Amino acid sequence: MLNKPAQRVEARWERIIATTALAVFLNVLPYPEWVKFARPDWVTLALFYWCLAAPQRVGVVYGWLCGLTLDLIHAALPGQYALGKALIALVAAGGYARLRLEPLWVQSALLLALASADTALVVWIHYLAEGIEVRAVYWLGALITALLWPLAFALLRRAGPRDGFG
Amino acid sequence: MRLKKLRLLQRFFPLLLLSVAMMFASHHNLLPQARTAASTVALPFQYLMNMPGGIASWVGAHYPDDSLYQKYDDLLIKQLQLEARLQRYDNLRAENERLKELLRAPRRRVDHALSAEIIEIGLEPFTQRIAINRGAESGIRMGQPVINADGVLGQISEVGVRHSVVTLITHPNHSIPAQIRRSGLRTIVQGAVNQVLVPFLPGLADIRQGDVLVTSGVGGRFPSGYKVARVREVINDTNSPFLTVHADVFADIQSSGKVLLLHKPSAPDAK
Repeated sequence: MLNKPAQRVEARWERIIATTALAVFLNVLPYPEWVKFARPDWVTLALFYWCLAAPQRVGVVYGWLCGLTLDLIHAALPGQYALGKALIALVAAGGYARLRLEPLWVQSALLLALASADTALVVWIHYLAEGIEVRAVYWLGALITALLWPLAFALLRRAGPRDGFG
Repeated sequence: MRLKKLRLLQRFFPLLLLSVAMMFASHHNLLPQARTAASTVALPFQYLMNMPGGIASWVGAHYPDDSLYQKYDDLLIKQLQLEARLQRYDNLRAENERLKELLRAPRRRVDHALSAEIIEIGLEPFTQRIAINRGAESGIRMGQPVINADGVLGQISEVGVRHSVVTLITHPNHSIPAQIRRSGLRTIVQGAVNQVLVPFLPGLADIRQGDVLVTSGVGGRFPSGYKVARVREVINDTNSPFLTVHADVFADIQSSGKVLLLHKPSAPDAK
């Protein structure tokens, strides 16, 4: 680690919550029909960033609560998004120290894996509960999410502590 | 480092169990009140999205869409056609009333309807349920039938304060009593994700490709006479005692954002 823990400036709560709320909002915004499957998961992006930038504050519980909010807005079976986001937070906050130092494309690749797992979980639960047919196109959103990571990082670092992950 | 990871895991497992328990409870409808109460969390978001001139309509207006003029022309034509048909319907109804009076049959109530809009939020791309912008505040009740101009969409399966969730007739757990318009044969129509099936018809049943299935009114949940689906194919497998019948539903949620909520017919909650 570059900085000693004592010197690190932790991101402020209100900024974390404001950006997450914005992400939730972007998630549930109506999209036109043709991007239906390609909509990025902004909440995953925000959560991933804050897990790396403020691991002392944002972790599994925070991720779970974000997911639960999505569950309730989506009127989905409550707990599926919560579980997926908690899983993302578990990996991101668990390995934050090493992940921070990786180049952006490595973080993107990890995000692709995490967002895909998240989608797989939700699709699986829908499959069990409603018997939907599973189609590869459902994972397009995860790919778009991973591709948007550099942009999300550039935007969120302005909201976070100075200098990237601080 | 090790310690932190351990702590994360310690927090993750209770949440994992809690998530699974919540999904289980909700799927088996163990705590319906808790569900309604919790869905209030979604209210501020829905409120913002549905505000007139709010974000949703602003965003919606800026998508490249069919030109408004085209839509307007189409609607004018449709309106004319419908009015023409309505004139005939009025005559028929008058005639029907006369005949019923002759027969001393009880008069059927005209169904009253409340309109609502499909709200985009909550529309996960893969689910056989939709959300609409009316809830307990507008008097929505569980099990209320939902239709649109093309036919039956589904029924209310969850009531929030200002929104409710509609389970579509294509949902695999949904069945609707129906009858074949041509032959009057009564049956049920079962959801099967993006299509419906007509199960339990014996090999000699009078059903053909192209037959129109309408609600039969049996069970008292859906009033009779609304279009449900058109039979796409009838497979007579000699190994099975029943026909395999696939049908396509008339109501398309993509075609219009508006839906109608029918008031339940006078029969009390019968299921």
